[in-house]
Amino acid sequence: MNKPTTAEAKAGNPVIAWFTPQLPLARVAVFRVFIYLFVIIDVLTISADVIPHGWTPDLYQPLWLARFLHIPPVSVVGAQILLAAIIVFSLLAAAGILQRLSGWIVALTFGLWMFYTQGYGYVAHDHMALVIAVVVLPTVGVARFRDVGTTSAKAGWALRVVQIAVVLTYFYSVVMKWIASGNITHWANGAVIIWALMRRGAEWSKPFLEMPGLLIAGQWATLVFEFLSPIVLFFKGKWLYGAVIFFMLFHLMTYIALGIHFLPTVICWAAFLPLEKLVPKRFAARR
Amino acid sequence: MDEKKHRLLTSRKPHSEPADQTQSADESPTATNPKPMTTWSIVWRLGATAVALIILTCGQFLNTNDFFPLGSLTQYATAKDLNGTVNSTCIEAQFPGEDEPRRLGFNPATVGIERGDIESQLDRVITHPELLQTLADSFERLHPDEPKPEKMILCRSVTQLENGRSVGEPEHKILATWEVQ
Repeated sequence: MNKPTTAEAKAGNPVIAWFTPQLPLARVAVFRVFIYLFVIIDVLTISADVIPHGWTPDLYQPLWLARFLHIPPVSVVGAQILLAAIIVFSLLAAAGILQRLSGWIVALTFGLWMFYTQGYGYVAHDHMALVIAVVVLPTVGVARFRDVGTTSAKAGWALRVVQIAVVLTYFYSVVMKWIASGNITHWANGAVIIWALMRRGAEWSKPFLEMPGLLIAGQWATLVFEFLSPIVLFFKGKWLYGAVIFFMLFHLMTYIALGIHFLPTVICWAAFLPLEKLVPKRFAARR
Repeated sequence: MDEKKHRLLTSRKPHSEPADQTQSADESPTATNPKPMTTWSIVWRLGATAVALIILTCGQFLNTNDFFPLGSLTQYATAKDLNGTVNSTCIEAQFPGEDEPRRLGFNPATVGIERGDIESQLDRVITHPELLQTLADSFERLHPDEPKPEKMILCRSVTQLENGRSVGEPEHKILATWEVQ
């Protein structure tokens, strides 16, 4: 019953097997719903500054890829057309209609949208995993909700890449803190949270400004779990659920205190979960 | 009974029925034979992963955001001195008939751009204050019922810290001004 399949035999190399695990296609189908619906929310709220950027072409500071591809500053009409295309094709991609085509069109249009939201000076790093998810999802090919019992290494690779992007968002931010500060203890013993609270803190969180010691302890704790985040790639079962819940609570706290939600990364944590369990059994069984 | 008979008659592979049941229990991910990936399919995927990891790593060590989405993860990465200052950039506009300049929300809905965007190119805006014209234009377009500002003022509020606690009132500095045209 447990004879190795052709693919398993081929993926004998443990490194290849780890990067391309056999995962249910239904997991990708459900993950796609999460991602593409979130893309719509993103372009309408978090990254909605692209349309006003149409009014400020002088402040365009194109990023490397945008310069390489000679992407001009966005116009208001151009941004509106782009927005409409992203919404229509995200809906199609989420529903699994014309899967490859709609997926690639979202990758192109949303990618362009990202260059227009990030290309005006400030580059936010909460979108890394989401952009990568949108780029890798169309490589899976056709994935249906009923494919609960059908596994695919293409699905496994796409989800693995998103998982890696998620944990590296935290891990490399520690590396960056080290590089930017010269000495990591300067960062941890410094006033970063104080600075953030003063600039954008919620009213209820202002009393914490009177407790710098507590905020410094918070900075050390942040460093430790961000540094350890890659371990989650090897967690299973309760440990995995526990880690995902922990990171969700962390982001909830920074949102309530500072208004920093990090939702584009938060949504990508779904790549760690057995999402195919959300598919009702009657759909899963029918073939 | 009838249902089972019907299933047996319509099923292309009668013996596959137990397998189908296993699938529905979703405990056997290999219930359906997975299609093997071709060598090329594996090679480009692993190659792309490696290239992306190299670019991301270089992005950190070169400390550049330019490789977005694989740029440096710089948000909140700079250490702040417990005895230093906290700077916050602000934007003000002088309207006709008003004595004092009015502070505007530094966000896309008010001036077409986020505070962080201007802070990321602050030196450029201070050297070329004419760039503030575009903020005035945005304000005018986004607020057709409001009067047109006469002057745009890019400012900074500076709070002094002592052992992580703020001392005194924030200082107000003017970074650049522009007579709106």
